[in-house]
Amino acid sequence: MRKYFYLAVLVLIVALAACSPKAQPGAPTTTQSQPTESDSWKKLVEAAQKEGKVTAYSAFLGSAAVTGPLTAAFKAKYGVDLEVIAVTGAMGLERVKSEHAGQKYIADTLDGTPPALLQAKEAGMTVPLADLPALQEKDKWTTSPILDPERFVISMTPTVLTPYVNTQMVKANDEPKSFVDLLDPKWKGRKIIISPPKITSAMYYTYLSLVRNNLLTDDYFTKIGKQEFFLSPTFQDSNAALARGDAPLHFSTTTSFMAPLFGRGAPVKPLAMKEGTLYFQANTMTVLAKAPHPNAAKLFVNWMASKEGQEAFHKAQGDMSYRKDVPNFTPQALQVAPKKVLALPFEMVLETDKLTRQNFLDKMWGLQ
Amino acid sequence: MLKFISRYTLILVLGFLVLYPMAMVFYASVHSGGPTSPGNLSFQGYVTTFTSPLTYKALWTTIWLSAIRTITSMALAIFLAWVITRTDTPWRRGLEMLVWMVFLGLPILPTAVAWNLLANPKGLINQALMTAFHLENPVVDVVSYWGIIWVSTIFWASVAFLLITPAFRNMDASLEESSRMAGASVFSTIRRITVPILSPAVLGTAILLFIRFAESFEIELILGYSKKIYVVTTRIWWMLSTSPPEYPEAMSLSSVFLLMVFGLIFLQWKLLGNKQFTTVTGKGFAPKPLKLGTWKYVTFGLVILYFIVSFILPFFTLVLGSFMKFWGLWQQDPFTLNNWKIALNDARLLRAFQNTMWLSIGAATVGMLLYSMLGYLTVRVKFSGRKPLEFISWVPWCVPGLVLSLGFLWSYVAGLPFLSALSGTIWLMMLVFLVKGLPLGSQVMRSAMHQVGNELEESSRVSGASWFYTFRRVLAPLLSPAFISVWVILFVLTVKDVVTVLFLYTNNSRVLSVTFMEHWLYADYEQAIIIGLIMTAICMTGAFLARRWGVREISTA
Repeated sequence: MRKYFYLAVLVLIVALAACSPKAQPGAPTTTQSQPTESDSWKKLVEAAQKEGKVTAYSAFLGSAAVTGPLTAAFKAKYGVDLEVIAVTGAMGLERVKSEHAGQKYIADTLDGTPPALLQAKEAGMTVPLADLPALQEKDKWTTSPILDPERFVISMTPTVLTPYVNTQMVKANDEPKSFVDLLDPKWKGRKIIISPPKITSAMYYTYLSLVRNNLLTDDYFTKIGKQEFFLSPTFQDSNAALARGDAPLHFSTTTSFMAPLFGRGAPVKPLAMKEGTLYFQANTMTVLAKAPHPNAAKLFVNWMASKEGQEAFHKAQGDMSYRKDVPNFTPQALQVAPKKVLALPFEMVLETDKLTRQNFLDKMWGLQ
Repeated sequence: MLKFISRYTLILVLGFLVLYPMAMVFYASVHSGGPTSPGNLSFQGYVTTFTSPLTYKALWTTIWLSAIRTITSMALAIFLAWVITRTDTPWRRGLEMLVWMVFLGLPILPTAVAWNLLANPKGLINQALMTAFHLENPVVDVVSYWGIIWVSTIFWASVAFLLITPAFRNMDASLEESSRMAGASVFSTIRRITVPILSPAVLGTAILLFIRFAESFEIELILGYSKKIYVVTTRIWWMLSTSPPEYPEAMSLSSVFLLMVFGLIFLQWKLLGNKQFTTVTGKGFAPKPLKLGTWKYVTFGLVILYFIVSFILPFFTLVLGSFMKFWGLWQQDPFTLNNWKIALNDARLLRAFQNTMWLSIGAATVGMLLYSMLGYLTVRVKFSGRKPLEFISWVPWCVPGLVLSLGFLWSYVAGLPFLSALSGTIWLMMLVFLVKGLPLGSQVMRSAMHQVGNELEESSRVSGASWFYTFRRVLAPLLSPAFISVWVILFVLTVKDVVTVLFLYTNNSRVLSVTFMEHWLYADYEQAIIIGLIMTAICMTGAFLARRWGVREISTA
């Protein structure tokens, strides 16, 4: 018995050792490819390579499907290690604030929702990014990635929000065509929403865009709020619940987080609603002040904004970039043909005033 | 003088490490912006929290759910402990290992999801029952109150079993026999002999369990949240998940735990205060098994059934899930080996494995030495610091795990320079686990020491042995079953803990549990399951080794 036990332990150890990654050569293929390269940029690249690594607190880069390809591509390009710590927006911000308060700096970059990053900016924990070459290629972008006048925070990816159905549970004829259709009692208790409906949630942005564009009224959300929902704590979990068939319809979710599940066979489909489909900038990124690897941090964010970085990221994620020279990697079946594009201006994304928020929460939850 | 200084130094150091994070949590409850943001002193968090009807609803749900789960888990654990330690049921050592496996087996988060997939209205169990009995409607729905009670009970009964088994095993059967010979009935013997003797271990474990249930988060999130079943911890999580996070409200709600745990400590002191619970004395004892006749096969079958339901079913679901393209989705050609290839080629895995081993062995070993010392000081040594020390040892359970991890972040990372110097290192994480394990470790060691009679030590000292020699040759062998049990529990809890160090790790100190959580956050469930299965393998290996070592120690003592 003991013999078999020790044998099992040995097998486990050997298996882990054998499966550990082989050492990567890590030699940079080139450092000469920046179109707007200057001496100062060359110096920054050299300094970044000396620093050797960059630590990203990330709400968007942490999935296994994204981290691996991104880390390998960045290392191959510059010979710099990318270390991703997966966090939620609030969690990442709190970690950064604590590190700055304790003057023990670990993170170099932070990505997450706009309010979290703008809080970091207001607290003086970010640096301006105006000098990054990839951001100066204005003709390459359909929408400017720079979000704030001071150029601290950037966003390179459109977030597309729309209802989704599970195609095994909802026949094509039964698909709702408009948000008003969702008031039909047949959807009661069968709609997934992400809860809590925080002000960075899909539900809140949907509410803002539909009500502010006079497409729906507060009354609609009051009625919807009185219905039963299938509550799910995160985007990712709610998408998985739809794919598994826990409920047949998702009230509002992003294509970005759906694509990886679709690739694994999830029977899901986006709906182009009569009122329109929402496009806006929600995935934001910045470089942190007092970053332990300041040059590597800028190099990484610039690479993320470059054609090469955007291709590596969106190919792995299965969605699209604001860069014109990067193909749309969204799977065909998940590409929405919007009946109307509802662009939510960034100022509205940032609208976090207590009254709007309270109004929204009252409509949806009554007791908040 | 030296003794005096060392005792009070221990109180001061422990007091600081434990109370400082708690103080930061309290500070967050009365600071409008959270401890790391500008703001001012305000009690608005308390006002908002305690004027909301949802708070009272969640609080009431927490209390009654915890109470029921404590009763059901303790009943099951006592039954299992009685069968395995006090009866002649066949293959008892093997059965004991099976119960251990339930606790060691699986991280609670994927286990809860596994039960969701097994027993939700569209789950495998309902499909099987509806097909077999030609039923139109599903029979069970685990996404409900009873589902939360069911999954909690079968998992935590195994933990309670581990904690009360040493007491059952150490109980001298001659005490019960004497009672019966003196004419007492079986019921009277149980009431007047068995129950009082076992009461420190049973009551102590019940209180620990109640607090754990009140703190429980994962099961309630998976099996209750989608249907708006809110408990205090899911409400706190709700508040922390809003943007910006509602720290004052969340931290003020956490203060409820403070009151509850203080109440329970008081209750325990009141109930167990000055009573004698010595069962291991210098007279020697003989734990004779009760002969069950043919009923022994029934008890054997019931323990096996418990093992199948609580371990085999979810374990099978998880192993199956690790080979599925999409866990829970039965599509054409649903299986793949790709998940394992990706997981085993992940550059982070080997380092996370090494870090996990260092952290869990270190925290369990150093922790047990510390907790044994604390147990000894609070039970055996008469000095004025006993009560404060006992009080301090309970404090880490005064707030839920999620809040405690924020407390550690604010105090140990954002706080004093000598602690923030450890920021991001595995040493800081170990320190945090030492603090977190304090209530369980010191409480169980106290219970164990209560059971060992003073005369054994006194005899050794009268015979000329030093205090250390007496501790090593007399106390340590007698306490080793409890010591090993708690070591294993701490080792396993450290390996599987996904919340406590969520704010504290870096790439260099990443452990398997946070790798698991990172995958979970991104709905990479198949990857998370594989990490969970590796964690299971580590837990079982650690437990088997500890038991083998422990058994040898006991037999040579």
